[in-house]
Amino acid sequence: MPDAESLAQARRGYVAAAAGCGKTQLISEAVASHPTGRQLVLTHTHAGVDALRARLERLGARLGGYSVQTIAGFSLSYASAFPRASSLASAKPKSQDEWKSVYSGLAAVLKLPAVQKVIKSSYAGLYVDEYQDCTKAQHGLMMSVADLLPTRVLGDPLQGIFDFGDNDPVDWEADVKEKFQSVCSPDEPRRWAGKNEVLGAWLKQVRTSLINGQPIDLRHAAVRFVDTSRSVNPLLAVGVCQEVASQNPDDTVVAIHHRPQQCHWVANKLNGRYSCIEPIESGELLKFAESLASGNGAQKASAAIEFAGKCMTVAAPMLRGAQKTILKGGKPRSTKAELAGPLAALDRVVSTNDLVNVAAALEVMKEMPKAVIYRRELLDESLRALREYDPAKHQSVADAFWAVRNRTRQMGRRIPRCSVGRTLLIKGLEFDHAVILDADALSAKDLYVALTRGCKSLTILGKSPVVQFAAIAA
Amino acid sequence: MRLCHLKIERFRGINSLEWTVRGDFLCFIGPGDATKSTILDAIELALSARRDHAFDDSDFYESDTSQPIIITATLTQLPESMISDSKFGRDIRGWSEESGLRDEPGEHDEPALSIRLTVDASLEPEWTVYNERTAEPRYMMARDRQAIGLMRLGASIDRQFTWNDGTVLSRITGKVEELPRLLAEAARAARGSVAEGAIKTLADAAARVQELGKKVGVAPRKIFGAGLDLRRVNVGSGGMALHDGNIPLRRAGLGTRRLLAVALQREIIKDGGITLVDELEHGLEPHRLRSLIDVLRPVAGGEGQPSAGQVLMTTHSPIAVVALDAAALKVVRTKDGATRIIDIDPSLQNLVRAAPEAFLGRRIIVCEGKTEAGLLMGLDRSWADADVAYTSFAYRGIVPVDGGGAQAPSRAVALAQLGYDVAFLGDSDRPTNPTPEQMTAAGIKVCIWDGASNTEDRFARDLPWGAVKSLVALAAREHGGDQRIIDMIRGRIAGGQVPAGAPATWVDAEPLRAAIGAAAHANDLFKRIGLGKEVAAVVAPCLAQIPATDLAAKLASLRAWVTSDA
Repeated sequence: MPDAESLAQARRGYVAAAAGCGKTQLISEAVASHPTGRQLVLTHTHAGVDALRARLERLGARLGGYSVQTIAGFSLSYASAFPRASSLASAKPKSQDEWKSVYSGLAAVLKLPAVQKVIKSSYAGLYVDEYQDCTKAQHGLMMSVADLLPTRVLGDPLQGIFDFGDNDPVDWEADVKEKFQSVCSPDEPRRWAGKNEVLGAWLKQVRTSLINGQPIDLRHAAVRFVDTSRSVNPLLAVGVCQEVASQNPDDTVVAIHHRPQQCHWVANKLNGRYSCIEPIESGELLKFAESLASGNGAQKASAAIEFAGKCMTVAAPMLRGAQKTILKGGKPRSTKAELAGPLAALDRVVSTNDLVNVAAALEVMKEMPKAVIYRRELLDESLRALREYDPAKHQSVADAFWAVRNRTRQMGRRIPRCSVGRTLLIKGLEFDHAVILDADALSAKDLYVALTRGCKSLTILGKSPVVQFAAIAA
Repeated sequence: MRLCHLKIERFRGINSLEWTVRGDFLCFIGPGDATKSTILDAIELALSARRDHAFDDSDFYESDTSQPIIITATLTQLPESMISDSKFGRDIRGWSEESGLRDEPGEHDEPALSIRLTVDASLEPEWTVYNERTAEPRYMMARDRQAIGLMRLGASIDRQFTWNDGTVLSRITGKVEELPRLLAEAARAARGSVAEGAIKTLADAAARVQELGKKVGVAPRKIFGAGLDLRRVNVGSGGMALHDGNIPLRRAGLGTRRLLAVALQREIIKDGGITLVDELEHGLEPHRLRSLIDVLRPVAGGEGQPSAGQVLMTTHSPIAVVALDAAALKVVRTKDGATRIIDIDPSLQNLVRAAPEAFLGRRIIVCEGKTEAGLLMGLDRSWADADVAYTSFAYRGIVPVDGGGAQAPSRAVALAQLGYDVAFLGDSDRPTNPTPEQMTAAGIKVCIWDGASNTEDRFARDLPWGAVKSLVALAAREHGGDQRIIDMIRGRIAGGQVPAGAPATWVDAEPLRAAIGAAAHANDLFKRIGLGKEVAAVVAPCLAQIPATDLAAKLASLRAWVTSDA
């Protein structure tokens, strides 16, 4: 493939690629084409890392010819290796500010000639995927590495959906197009080839419309559009998800909503058939960890019930009364047989104030009749952290949770067959079928990300069949 | 690759050593038990890929195993493979000539890697990459250490002339596909060539075994015979050895083998390995020793290029010392387990050339000139001959050296600062710089003649008249006969009147003694080391007769220093 070759030969090249147009394949082929040396391949998410690794393996790329890492992981590994130069605040960054110190630390470390020598000894070149998701700080780091190594960046400005809060993402025009030479702009909809080529062709048109700020009619032959403007039944979306999952029992399905609570609600209503995709830096996990950090056994028992309510059905509503009694210092009793186990487990939490018993209580609640877990990742990770917590090893309960989460970050996770998530959490992932639950609420870029997730079918729920946005520079 | 820093804790005779290495071509000198070889051993154990050294309690300082042996060797000019972040790239430390070793590289530092060998009471060696900031040990495998390319030119060089795994020869050769097959064929041929029954006495013995076997019920499947057991005969690649004609190279002279091993080493380690050489002079005639030094001397790389490799040696040879620069010489000193490696100031370069032996001893008597040095060497012999209880300079590691006249006092101080135990023997006819007081303050035993005197003057004034005349006779023999001596004396005697007749007939007189001393000093009559023995043979027997003289008193105090083992 000539594109891969020219990419491999570029000293400072960029590729603006439409979604599903073989960007992963392009990087992998380019990386695999280097006969010697090791290429550093960076991306943002561990899912992205896994996908690139899998593709490189499939291509039979030379072992030792590449190292695929997240930008965060790469930055942390170097910043923490030289703590004096990086003045790293924490070797286990958790907050946004701590991560900022990782990047500013790496910037200082990369100024050291000795470290530059290490980089040059380690790698023959750099590839950065999903470049549109780089912050300005990350971009600065990549430019420092670009002074040492041939550097190629790939991305899609239309999928740059991290422009919120104080993320300060890279400016495609000023930071990419002016600093790098264009190598190619693949727009052949490969993801849909042989699966749903009509959809692929339509998405190519949608892209053009988005770039030009033209209206988009969602009622296209390639799409199932469900008009929700006249429906007041919130379960309509649940029904559609149910249907798509049932009709395609062997395929992967993703349901997309822009609000997390809505994702959880839908998952809840789907009775565990769909699982929520959780952010790695899960605020809910942190909150749970902190609620367990201090306080007496009664408070921990209450926190366990509260948390169960976030992950599963049945337990929390049935234990509301018991929770109140426990918090008042009483010992809840019930004649209901199914509550005997949970109450005994909670009582052990109250009397021992031990985190292992919190985990045991959650296990018991999980086994209650008819209980369905719809945020399995959240629950499983908590149980893991509670069991692994060791005051000798961890500074705090939150530290144990962070360690578990960080391991997942490193190891990657298996995405359930049917998932619910926000665009931020599913971007870069590929599914057979996608269901967009709130097309009207999405921004242009979020919509583009959502539209391009499913390769066999696309179902859109929305109040207006025609949407239009301001033009996007690409 | 070069060693830039070395730290040894509790290894054999070294309780502690910390050394910042400057230079690529360095030679340890010092007295026999200064732990020079222990330093090379430590470097080798820390950096070589071999794992066959079996540690025992005696490897611990004073055999105390309660605390581990720790040897930390820090390297710079590292190969890319080693500082790749897939190996130890993130574990690097920083090094520069100006700042030395730092745990994290600074702005002007090059990458350095500290390799640490730890041996605790379990006696299991463990190699790690060390820095202060990583708690988790990063293990270093033998194959990682292989890349350091360390070679020791020591006892086991013969292995280098075989195609054994890891030898220079096998690395030069590379992989030879058909070698195993050829070797197997050779083995079979060997087996075939020693046909059963070919050696009669062996066949007889085999038959006897067969008979004995019958008695205990062991029946042979065929018949017992003597055959070559190929597992006992080395026909592996290790059995392939370099030959000169029919003679395996291991039978060549030691010097030849050492030179050749160095040449091989130089060939393989183009990017600069570390070579350790024990007893540089071992097995070599002087001219080959010099050529070994030339072969070893690292070839300087081009502009801004690191030199190719580093060589660390030990020697006891003055020839080697002369052939090396003062900057290359490192004096090793150990006191109560505290080992120091001391640089030799470039100002001592001349002394290195002039008196290389000085640097090989433990104690040095810096003499003003050759007259004094010769006298002392001669006295040492005389004293030893006369007194069985007297132990010689050689035994005590004492070296008298010619300090080179006016420079002698400053050289004495410089040597004292290098850690040598120094005595000074010199004249008082000119002021010394540094002063005798400064020399004493530097820890030097100072022997300077009373008054404004020199050695020849002291001979002439203090010795019995007969001995003075013997010295005059010696001078006459050495310097062209009596008349020459008389001519030398003439201008120096008060009144200008030299006694008539041959010197042997002269009568003792104060002015004559003064003139003889002055003439001998001015004309360097005894200024030859070789003459010292004969001078001493005259002087030594007299000393007991003239205890009150300055000559006898100063030499007695020097003898006391010699025998004191300070």
